[in-house]
Amino acid sequence: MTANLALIGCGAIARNFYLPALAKLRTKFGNIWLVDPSDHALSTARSIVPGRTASRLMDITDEIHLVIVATPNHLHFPLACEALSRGADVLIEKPFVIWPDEGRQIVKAAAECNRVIAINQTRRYFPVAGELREQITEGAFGALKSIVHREGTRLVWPFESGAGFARGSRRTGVVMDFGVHVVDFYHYLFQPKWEFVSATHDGFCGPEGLAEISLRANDAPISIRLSRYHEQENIAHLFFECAEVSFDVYDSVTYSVHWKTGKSVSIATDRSGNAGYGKLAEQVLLNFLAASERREQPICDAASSLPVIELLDQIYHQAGLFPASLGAA
Amino acid sequence: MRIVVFGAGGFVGGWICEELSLRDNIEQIACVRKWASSVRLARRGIEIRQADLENTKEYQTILTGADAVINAAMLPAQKEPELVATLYSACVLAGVRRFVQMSSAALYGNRIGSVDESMAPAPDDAYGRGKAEMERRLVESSKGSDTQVVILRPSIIYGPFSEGWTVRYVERIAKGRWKGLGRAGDGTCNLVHAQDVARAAIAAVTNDIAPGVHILNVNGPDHVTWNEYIERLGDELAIPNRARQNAVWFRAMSSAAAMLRIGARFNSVRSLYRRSRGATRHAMTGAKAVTALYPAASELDLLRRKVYYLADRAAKTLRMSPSIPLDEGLRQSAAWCRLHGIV
Repeated sequence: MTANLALIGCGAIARNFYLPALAKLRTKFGNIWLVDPSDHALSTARSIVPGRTASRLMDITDEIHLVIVATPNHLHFPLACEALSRGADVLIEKPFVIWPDEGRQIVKAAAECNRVIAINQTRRYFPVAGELREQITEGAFGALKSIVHREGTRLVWPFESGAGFARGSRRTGVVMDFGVHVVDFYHYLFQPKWEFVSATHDGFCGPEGLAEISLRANDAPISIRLSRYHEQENIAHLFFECAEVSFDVYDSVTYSVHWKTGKSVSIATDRSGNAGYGKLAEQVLLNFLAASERREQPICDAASSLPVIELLDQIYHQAGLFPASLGAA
Repeated sequence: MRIVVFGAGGFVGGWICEELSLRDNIEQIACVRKWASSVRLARRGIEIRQADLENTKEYQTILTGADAVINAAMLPAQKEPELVATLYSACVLAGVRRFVQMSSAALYGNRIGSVDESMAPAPDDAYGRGKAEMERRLVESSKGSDTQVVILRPSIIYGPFSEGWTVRYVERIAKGRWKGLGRAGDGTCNLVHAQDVARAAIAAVTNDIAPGVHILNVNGPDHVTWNEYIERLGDELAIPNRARQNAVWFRAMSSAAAMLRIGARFNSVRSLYRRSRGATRHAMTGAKAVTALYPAASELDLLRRKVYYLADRAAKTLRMSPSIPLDEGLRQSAAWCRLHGIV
């Protein structure tokens, strides 16, 4: 029997990521329910994947086995809880929660009812992530000395809703948006003991667009700049005892190694051939399905993502602000 | 006072909204066309609405109860006259007391010498023609109306968040090691700081001014050439090993860049760039860098034009003058560029 699936939230991430992949993998699922309070969003979603529609999860009368939560961040927690209470396995868009306590409650509830909570931390699915993780675990480059990561681009995401920019919206800025990808990526590579050093951002009375963050991962300094205003270098530099590893943060397959011996190599990891955004979405869904059928472990589950949320929480709590005078930041 | 700002997600609109957010007794509504352009506004806790000027229904309700409207939306030149006229009509219907429209000194085209508002527009490009026609339609529409119109014509707006006149020049100075452009840059650079433009727009809304339509140049307090601007900005950024460009070489490279820009319009060239690897990719990336570094023909003309836009009428009408000196503006711009990782 194929599993019935509900996609909650039919905004930009659903249109650009989940729905095209669901359309390709349609035969692997039973009934598909599209859930959103907006008729316009539902009608656009139906044009990509014909499905039944509802404005709320509670309106669905079918048995639902799989739920994807792709709503604004602050709704992830209540909707994931609701999905768990209906006995569904859940895939939650990143960041899976805003507050660590919510994350802990979800991990506990999923364990108690033996359900899967998978998280779409897309970069863990990058071929380059798998390969680097393997090499680092094997000690191929020696011990990590430091990381410099500058990531940013002018924000162009086609947001359906302005929830993330509304007055009073919390934790919807660049730290929770790009930052959760960056920190999760390094968490996946190194599984380190994290230490907060300092952070500064420009969220004077709302979500921040620029952030400078200093951390330590197993005592190695990590320097991160994130921007929603301007293109940054967008190359990550990982300095190890024996080599410098660098990669374009938006290139899912290629990385370079500059050995201290003077030798340099550029490596294209193409083991799975899953480089494109669409292919990544298919991989995320297939892994979720396999995890739900207990055939695979989720590449990213709530428990493994929780330390990242805890670290981001610490960053938000302890961050200072750039000078607030106009033009200063 | 309730003020609605259109084009709030843009460079000038963002400055106006940030400046408004510091004022007492102002209720502002910042309108953006796309949510993604809300980053700068949201960090200040400004109330944001989505409204596209091409969709009257989207903004009609927002105008209810508004005392004033500032339109800083960047619109396509061909559509701007119609869209602004339609917005103005909606403001009249909603009982808006004052309508401030951002225009541009670009509508003076290639006039030289001292230019004030009594001189007729002489636009020499599509952007300037769009502004001139928009102003004409707006002035025409305002006849007999209770919604007073103030049109501002700022010159070269620089400062933090200025993509065109700060970020682009910082990148050019850094990459091209520019210290000056020789004879190619001896024209007048009519710089006005973005915060001064924002203050002028707010003064146009909040100050008591004489009845009737007002059209006002907005220019900064310093008289400098483009060469001085480039040199002083480079000094402020402490970029080493800069050299004055040879004007003949500079114009030749600008011509080459113009041809490369034409080439880049072809889909086949774009497709080749996307698929390119190795030496081809390297060559095409180099060509792309040349197009970013060297100005287009219209900008070359601007860099040589000896014109100064007089802003005495604005000072008298609004009872405020741009006051941020160039030294301070450059210091602020350089610090901001460093903070944002632009240089």
